Amino acid sequence: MRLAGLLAVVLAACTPEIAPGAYLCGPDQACPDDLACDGASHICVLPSQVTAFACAAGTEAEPNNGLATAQPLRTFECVSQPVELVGCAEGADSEDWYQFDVPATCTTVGVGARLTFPLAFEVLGLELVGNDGATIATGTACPNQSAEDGDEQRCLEQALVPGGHYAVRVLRSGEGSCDGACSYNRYTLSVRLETP
Amino acid sequence: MSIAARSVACALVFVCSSRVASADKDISFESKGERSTTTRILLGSLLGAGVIAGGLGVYWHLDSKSASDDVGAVTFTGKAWTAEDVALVDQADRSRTRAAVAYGIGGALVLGAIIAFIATDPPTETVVITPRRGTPTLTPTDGGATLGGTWSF
Repeated sequence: MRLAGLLAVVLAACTPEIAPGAYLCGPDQACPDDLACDGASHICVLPSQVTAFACAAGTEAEPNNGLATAQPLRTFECVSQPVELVGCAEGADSEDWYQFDVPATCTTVGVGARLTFPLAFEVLGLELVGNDGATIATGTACPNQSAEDGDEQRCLEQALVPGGHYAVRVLRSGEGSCDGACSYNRYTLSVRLETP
Repeated sequence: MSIAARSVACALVFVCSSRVASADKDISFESKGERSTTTRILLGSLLGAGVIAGGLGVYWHLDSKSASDDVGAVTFTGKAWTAEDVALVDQADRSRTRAAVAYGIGGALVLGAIIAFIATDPPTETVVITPRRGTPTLTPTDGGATLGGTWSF
């Protein structure tokens, strides 16, 4: 009997010990058993500590759901430092638009954009849209992206026409939305002009 | 043969015959029996199977511990919880269960081997030898005599 008890104690050490706060939430708010995804921090915590997802103040600038109402980015030079902004999409807000102009003085110019968002919530998409409303390029998985850090990234690089007017569109893809239970996400968008 | 030699030979016969007569007691000693081949095979099989099961238990135990250590964390890891982590937890649980079963079976087999070893311990027999009176013989030879004796059990 004592041996069986000792065996149970020894084998109990083989049960993974995962403390609340040790892991970021995975896709579809995945967390270890007995833990749940915190909406505010997308960290796996005790269910009693979970807070609901909410967009931080200043991360929503509506209306910006189309080319006409797109939020202007700063005035770029032909080769510019990246402009970085934090956004959020939840509820009925399924997309955010950001517009910018390309200086006419540039000889060759391109845009580089990177969208970073937690993989815990709905997957976001990134598109480059021309002045006519047509999609020119779509963001894809970034090179050298680590899948372990809890973030997903989409990158986009595209040659542009000097003097042109463009928009970057951030949209909810419908994927990874926890069957509708986590149809929201926050993101960081980085855009810069560069020599292609 | 001289008279002196004959006298010595007769004296020897007298001394020896008296010695043999005085050893006219039962001789007893303990004799340990042996296990049969079948029993030895049974015991070896039980013990061997128990050791093998215990070895498998150790293997699964270590596998479970390794998977558990890989996924376990008490401080912030900066990593997202992924399907690979879920698989590690499942592996740890599965191997832990296998280890417990293997330890149980192995322990039972070794215990069974020990019990069988005790239960099949062959009895000790007491062997008694009753010596009969020895008959000394004396055969004169050239220059002396040959002294001998016969006994039966």
